[in-house]
Amino acid sequence: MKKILSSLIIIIALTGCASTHNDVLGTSQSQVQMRNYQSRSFDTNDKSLVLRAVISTMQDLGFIIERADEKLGTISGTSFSHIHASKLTVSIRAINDKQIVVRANGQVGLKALDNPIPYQNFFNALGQSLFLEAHEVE
Amino acid sequence: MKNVFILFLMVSFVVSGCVSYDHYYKLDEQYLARRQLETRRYDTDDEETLLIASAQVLQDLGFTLDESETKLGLITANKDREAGSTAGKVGIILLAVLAGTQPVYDVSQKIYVTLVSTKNHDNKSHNIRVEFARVIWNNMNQARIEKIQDEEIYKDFFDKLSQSVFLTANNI
Repeated sequence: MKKILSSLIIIIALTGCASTHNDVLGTSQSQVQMRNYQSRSFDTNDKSLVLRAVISTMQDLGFIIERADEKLGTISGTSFSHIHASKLTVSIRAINDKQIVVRANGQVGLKALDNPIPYQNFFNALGQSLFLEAHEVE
Repeated sequence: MKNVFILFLMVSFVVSGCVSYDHYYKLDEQYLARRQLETRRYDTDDEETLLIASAQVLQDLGFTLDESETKLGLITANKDREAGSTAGKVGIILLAVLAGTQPVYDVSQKIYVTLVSTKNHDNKSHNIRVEFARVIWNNMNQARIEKIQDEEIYKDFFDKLSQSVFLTANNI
């Protein structure tokens, strides 16, 4: 009886939340989903404004900015605000003359961050930062 | 007792596999206060000179520069230093010897700094925002990470930067 119980616990422990992680990495459908929640478009053609807003937002969120590339439109940083250190890379690209898409992807500890809510939090903060800067509210 | 311990380990493992990350990347209540602490306004429209003065002051403080992207006003740097005073370490070792335990004391630290300049909307001034963080290793080779939020350190840094801006402007 004890052996069965132990085996059951081991199986549960090993599977944990692994199935959802596999789904994210598995099919092209998941990749589409992932791009969907990791990206947001903003109605501006000013790349520099968006990049600087991304840096400012990441700093507000407690990130230490590690590197940035204006040409590629990428910014990477690490946050020590939570128990596990979190890394985030944000890239921006213009999709037409009027819109810029911002994409973020993060990892927490040794895991890819595949939950849409933190990205939603990030884009809310970014939207707020763009609004703050546009209207000079500090 | 052993079984209970194993069960506890298993349950911890299951629970840790399902940690919620919903609070990640969310602005907390202190972000504006933090921004204020880490930011200083400089009345110059010359971002390049401001960044050169910033790099100079980082060198004054013994940092080696990691990365810079002047088009975005970014400089990152770090330095490795000893952590904790010798007297403090001696005290910890003596206490540990008396208590019959293994002494644990800080050995080294890596200090990171990120500096970003942003042009203000008046086009006549720039904000410099600087952030310090450090990783500290103890004698057991365990690391802990902390963001430095000491008001004095930021004040001191900006005072040095003001001085550096003056020195750089005067080619000193």
